[in-house]
Amino acid sequence: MPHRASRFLVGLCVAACLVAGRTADVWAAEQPSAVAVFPVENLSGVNVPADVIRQVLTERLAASGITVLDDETLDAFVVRHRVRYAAGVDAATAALLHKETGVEGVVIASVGLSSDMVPPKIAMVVRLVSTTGAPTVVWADDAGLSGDDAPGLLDLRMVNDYDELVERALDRLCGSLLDYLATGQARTDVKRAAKFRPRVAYNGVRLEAGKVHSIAVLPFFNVSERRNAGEMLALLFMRHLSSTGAFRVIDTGEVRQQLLQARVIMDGGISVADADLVGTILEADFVLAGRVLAYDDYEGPEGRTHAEFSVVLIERATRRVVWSSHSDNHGSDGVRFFGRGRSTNAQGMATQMVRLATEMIANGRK
Amino acid sequence: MKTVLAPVTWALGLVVCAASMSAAQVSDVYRDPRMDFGTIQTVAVLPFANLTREQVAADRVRDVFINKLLSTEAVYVLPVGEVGRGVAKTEIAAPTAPPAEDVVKLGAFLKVDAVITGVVREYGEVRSGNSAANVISISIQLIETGTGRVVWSGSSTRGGISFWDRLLGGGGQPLNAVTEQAVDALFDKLLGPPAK
Repeated sequence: MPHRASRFLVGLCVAACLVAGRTADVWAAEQPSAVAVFPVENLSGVNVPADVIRQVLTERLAASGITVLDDETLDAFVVRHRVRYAAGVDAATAALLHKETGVEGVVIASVGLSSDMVPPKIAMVVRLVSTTGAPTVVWADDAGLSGDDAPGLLDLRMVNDYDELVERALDRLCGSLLDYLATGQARTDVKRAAKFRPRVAYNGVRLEAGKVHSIAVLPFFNVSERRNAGEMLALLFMRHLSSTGAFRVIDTGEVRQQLLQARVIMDGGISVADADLVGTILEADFVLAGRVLAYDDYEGPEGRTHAEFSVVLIERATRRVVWSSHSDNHGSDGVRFFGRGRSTNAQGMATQMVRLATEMIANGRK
Repeated sequence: MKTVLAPVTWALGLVVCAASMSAAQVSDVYRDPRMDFGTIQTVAVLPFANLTREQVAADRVRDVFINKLLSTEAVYVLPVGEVGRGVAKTEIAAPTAPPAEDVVKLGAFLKVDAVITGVVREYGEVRSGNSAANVISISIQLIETGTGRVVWSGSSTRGGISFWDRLLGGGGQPLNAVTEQAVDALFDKLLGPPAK
């Protein structure tokens, strides 16, 4: 009996060690206690309630006890340092912001879709970028909602009011951000259906155990008819890669700055030489890029969403492609009865496609 | 006399039929018998020529083709950006149909054993009466970069309106599924045993 008890204890210790080992290779940053909320990035091509979104984010954070940099100080900082790009943070701006204002993180919201036609639609990605070291995405979440996502019996749960839908999206995103700031853990309960897996994929990713790998996500080359689709896909990849815990995702502001300084022009996609250059400058182990072939939304009650993209991940050490995939889904895929499971928002569908791809990347080659 | 001639007539008829059928059997695959395909380790897939009305048909098919080829793990495929860089640096005027000397030049620059060119001939919906279905037709050439010689060539057509589509209606399969089938069929021809 004592022998069995000792074996049980040994087993328990081994399990505890395994769990400890598992958590050790997960990227975790200290939660910032003081943040700045940057102006909203509008990728939708139409007018969006940017001020309202920024105000709600600021108020919710302040109400939870987080110190938020006031507008006057932020404006003065932007003017003083001639900050022209507010949709991301580069290393120099992050260091200055931290030094001069004491801010430890920057909250950036990007709106990818906005339509007030009934049923209304909104798609947003919000991320928190650390300013205490190299600008890194420490938390990110997204919401792609449509008023007819869940109409319910006799359409009683339809949302026809645009403001109400925006409020719902912000509730969800603020709740997720505040959870992270309170616990240090990003929400992992992301809905993803198997039908959104990449249709074709090559997986040669071998991640070193116990090491957090840095990754730079470049803007996707956009072949689709949708404006800014490349930026939206890149944001979704940053959002999901940061939540896997296996990667430290360098913020798009720093990536953009280095691409401009190195005068890298990607005509049609990333070359190995460019990936090597960008990876070396940014000290990134991996460089992820891709092409968007379709990113279609529709306005009104009837239509079909479509998202199609390909992704390539280049490892800097070997200068080789270690992941390559092609994803292609329509909103009506797998829908059989009464439109159940239909995707009414391209971002709502694309986020599941990206989630499944990033999980496969993080799990590596089996 | 009539009873003796009847079997002979039948036998002659069968021989004529068999001969005409074997003469009509034309393969859509060319494989250079002198080529050792095991030496091809790295390839570059050049932009495909697009003969369809769909603007991004060639890009779509090329993306699926590259990913499928990489996932077979038979060869390593360079990223499209690297191929684009090679085409720009070597100043190839017609990357969809390069002459042999350009292929040799590109191969030396990119350090690849072969390049693949392709043509998308049909891509999209076809209609016949009340029926409609997606169809794709592609052809591929594998060109060895040492000499600029075509060592393999094949084509594939998938989708279209089937007997059951005409009888029962229905819109056939989605375009992405048809594309994957066409590319798979090409790989069966390329990576499979040579046709007898």
